Amino acid sequence: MSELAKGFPAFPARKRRTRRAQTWWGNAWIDALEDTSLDSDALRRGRVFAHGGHVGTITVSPGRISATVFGDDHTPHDTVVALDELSEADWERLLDAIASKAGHVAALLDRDMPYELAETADDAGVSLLPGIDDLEPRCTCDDWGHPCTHAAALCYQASWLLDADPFLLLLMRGRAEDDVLAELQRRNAHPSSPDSTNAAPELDPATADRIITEASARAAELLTRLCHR
Amino acid sequence: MDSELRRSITTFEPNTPPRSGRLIFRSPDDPGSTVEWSLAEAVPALCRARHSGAHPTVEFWRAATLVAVEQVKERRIVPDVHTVTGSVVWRLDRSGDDELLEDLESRAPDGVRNAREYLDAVADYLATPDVNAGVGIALRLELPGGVDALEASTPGERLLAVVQIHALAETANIEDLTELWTDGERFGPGARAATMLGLRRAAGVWAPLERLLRQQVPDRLALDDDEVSDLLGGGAERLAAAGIGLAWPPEIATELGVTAVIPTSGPLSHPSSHGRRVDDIFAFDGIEPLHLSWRFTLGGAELTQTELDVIAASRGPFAKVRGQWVLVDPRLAEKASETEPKTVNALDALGAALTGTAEIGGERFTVEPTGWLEKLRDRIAAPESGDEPVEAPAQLRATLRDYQLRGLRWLHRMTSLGLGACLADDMGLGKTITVIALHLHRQSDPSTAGRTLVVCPASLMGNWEREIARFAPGTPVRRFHGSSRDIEAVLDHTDRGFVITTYGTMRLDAGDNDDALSIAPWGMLVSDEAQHIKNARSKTAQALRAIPASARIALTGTPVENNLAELWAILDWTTPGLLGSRHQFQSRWADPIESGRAPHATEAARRLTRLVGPFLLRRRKSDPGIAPELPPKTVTDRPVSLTAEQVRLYETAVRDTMARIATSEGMARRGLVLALLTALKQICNHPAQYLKEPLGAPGRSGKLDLLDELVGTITSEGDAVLVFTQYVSMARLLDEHLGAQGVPVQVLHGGTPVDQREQMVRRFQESPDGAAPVFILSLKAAGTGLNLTRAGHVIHYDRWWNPAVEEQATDRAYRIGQTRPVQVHRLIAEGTVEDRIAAMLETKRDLADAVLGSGETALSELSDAELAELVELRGAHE
Repeated sequence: MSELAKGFPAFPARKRRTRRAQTWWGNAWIDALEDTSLDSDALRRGRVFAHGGHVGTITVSPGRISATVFGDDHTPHDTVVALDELSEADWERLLDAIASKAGHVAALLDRDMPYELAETADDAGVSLLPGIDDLEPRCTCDDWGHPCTHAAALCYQASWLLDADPFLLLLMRGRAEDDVLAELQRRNAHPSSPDSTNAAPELDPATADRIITEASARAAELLTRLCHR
Repeated sequence: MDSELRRSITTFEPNTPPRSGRLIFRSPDDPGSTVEWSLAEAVPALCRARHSGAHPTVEFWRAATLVAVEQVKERRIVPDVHTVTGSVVWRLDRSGDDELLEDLESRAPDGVRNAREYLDAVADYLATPDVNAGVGIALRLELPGGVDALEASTPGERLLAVVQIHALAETANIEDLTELWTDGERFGPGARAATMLGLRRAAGVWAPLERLLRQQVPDRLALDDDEVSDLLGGGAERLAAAGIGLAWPPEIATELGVTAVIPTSGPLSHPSSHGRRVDDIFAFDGIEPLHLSWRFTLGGAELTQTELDVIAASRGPFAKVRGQWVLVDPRLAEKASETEPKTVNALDALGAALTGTAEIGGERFTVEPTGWLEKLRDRIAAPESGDEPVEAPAQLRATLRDYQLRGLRWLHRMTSLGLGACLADDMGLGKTITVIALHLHRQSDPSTAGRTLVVCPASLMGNWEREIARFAPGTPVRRFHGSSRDIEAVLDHTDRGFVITTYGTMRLDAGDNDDALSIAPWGMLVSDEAQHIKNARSKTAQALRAIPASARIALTGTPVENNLAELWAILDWTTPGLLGSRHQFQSRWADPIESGRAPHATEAARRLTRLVGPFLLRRRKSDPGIAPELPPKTVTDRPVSLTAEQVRLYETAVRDTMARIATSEGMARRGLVLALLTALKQICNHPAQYLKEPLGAPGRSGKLDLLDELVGTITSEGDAVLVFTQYVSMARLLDEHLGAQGVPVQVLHGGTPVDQREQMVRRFQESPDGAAPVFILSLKAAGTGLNLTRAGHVIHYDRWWNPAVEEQATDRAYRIGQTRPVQVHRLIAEGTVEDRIAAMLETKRDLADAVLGSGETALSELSDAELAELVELRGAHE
């Protein structure tokens, strides 16, 4: 059972205006946006929009984040920022690398992404965080900017969401939290397990069957080991 | 599952998602205390639980768990989209016609709800690993090289920490973490994730554990000597506080202990009453600071200096003493090399002796007092078990009950040691008479003889005067109160007697050294209803602290021990310094206790009880040792003063109506007399009642102020009270007044329909303690079958002038079925017609009989002169 699209209610307008995110990975995300941009004015207005509550409900899903962003004249624009999903092979290497350290798994469970975890990913040849030009903005507005004000606003708010939950980055990279955690725990427990992921992203019949089988096994385990009958 | 849980009434609270629902165990002994279990805790434990002796609800949930687990094992679960969150949840598949489920539901004991929700929750739990499952972590330390490795002079990684886990609720079944990694489902789904999270948090408490997290399987960790020392020197305590237990290798002794010793010699000195300053009423003034030294023991036996030297010289965590390897806490090694003893002041030493522990340099140590300090501790530790030959003074016109005599001995002991005390007995146990007895007793010893100053709420001044006149006739009493108060005149008339003043007056006339109450020499200072000084920063509390006295006693009927700030404020006045400064008290006692974190909170609370115990005596009416001594019914007259407004109205009414009475006759005269009596009684009740206007500002009626005091004390004791008034209009005013203060009130009067009456009576009788505690009744006690035995107190707000009627009303509370003693309070406005008639009823039988026979009309037959004498206002009023 995996949630492959997560929705987040709109941020209300904020008084305190901070340019940076709270976490190092949130800031890395902002850097990727700002380094890509050629128009510091669009970034500045994007921050004003982000803090001013111009962004509607944000949807995070594999390969993209999207929202309706409202212009100064309240015109709604469909805004998307795309990010490449990881390939299956990348995911394999990434999950194996993270699972090799109990601390990485624990950190993710704690909604933390230590810098060492990103390094571990880099060592495995996988870039978790976006770099220059990795964020691909698209918007229905007529703005010339790249990103436009609306996409910039969405990116700034996305950094706030990432602050609270690094799993959103993994979701954009293609996999849902439940799926990642199940895989990590499986790999952590069975280091030599050669068979790779079979976790289907949606609750297809095969996945459902697998979950039922696992649940049944747990139940049988409880009954045989614990019960006084 | 432990036996208390097994006996608990157990309910299931569904939640979203279903797997996060919780089982709630309500303690059979204390219904207020509950234990909550997540499914990760509950499902394995219930599967494992034995069948017999459990509460029917526990047995039901056990059966339900087995049914659900069985169904899941048979793969009978289906996914569902949760209607609210839109995420996938799992539930049991009920598509088939299943006898098992129906059979289970038919067996549900009364009151069990959410059985289906529980079954689905178990299914959801088993299908969905939950990262927040409850897993407890512990560390077992091993010595892989055996003790031989310790002999090697080269330090290194000599201890191995093996990580162990257990289900949170089941500390007994502990297993190595390796088991969890090879056999994952043993502890329920999600246990592995929970373990990793737990270890990550543990690493935040003790940093070396971070190395575990770099491993794929965080199962074991070699520790070097520095790390072991760090663990001994505080790391283990921090881990324990975070819920992570630690077991040391059995080959090494851990019983190296240290105790603080406070040696004292010489006799316990007695205080003298002269020449004390305000700040040092403590009897140990003049005693040099005491010394504190360390005593080291191994397995209970004291170590020799040579052995201590070995420990002091040990650089690592291990030392060999008496042929045995012991673990050495580095803090302890440091103490072993200390040569200078520490000094400690006498009051802190007494506190340490009472609690048995002391905090020194941020650490807590066991303390053993010796010599006179030990004797003093033994003498005061148990307030009621003193054996001093103090008897009730001969001048006391009353026989003290046993517990009152014990209270007197205790007060005498504490005051003669100069320690001060707070007597916090329930209202009605006789705190006033005990203090009067103490005052008389102190007069028999020239070193303690002197005046007593009583500070009390204005509404209680009359009560003090009356009780003193009644129980200690001949003892001078004066009020220091009112605008024309004169301290010199009061002192002239009160040699070895009592001076009564109010908190309000005291606030004006104390505080500076030359204020009236500060310059006067007081033998004893009594703060009645001491909750009035609970705010230590208030001007009232500050002023009270500035009054010098050789003995200080606080009286209160409210359970001060339940409010730490109040407790501090009162005891810091009676015994300055005992509890430390406000700030120290907050960090040392209040913070840990209020944190509620076991075992810290309970341990701190226990120590505070030992520290405070000797200074605070609180007996409840319901205590098994007290109740048999109490008469089933005690009637107390509660005199109150009229306010200035009441005096003005009263005198005007008397003057105007008496003039009209003098010129009228017959029926007209009789009507005027009765109207006058009614008017006067209403004025005594409250000006608003007489003037038929809203209550208005506070402070208009002495009776209402006293009622507030009484109701406040009664409700804080958790008791209930019946308030009788003969006027429906007054009942409404009282309802409005108490209701505005948030006191739950019911009002019953002659016009209340019968079915409503019954409802009210039931609500009053059946409410748990603390709910609907005040019942106002305005009716003649006609035989309506009102049975109101929940009330331990009855207040007659005004007088019926007919003892039989009053008695009948009182008997609503005091009747068959009443198991507790009943306190009856009769409010009487001093110097008024109420007061006069009450006195007449006691002394003049013929008039009493006349009144009894025909009610108030008998009074209308009095002559003008007799009537004038009856209604004239006398005595001192504000």
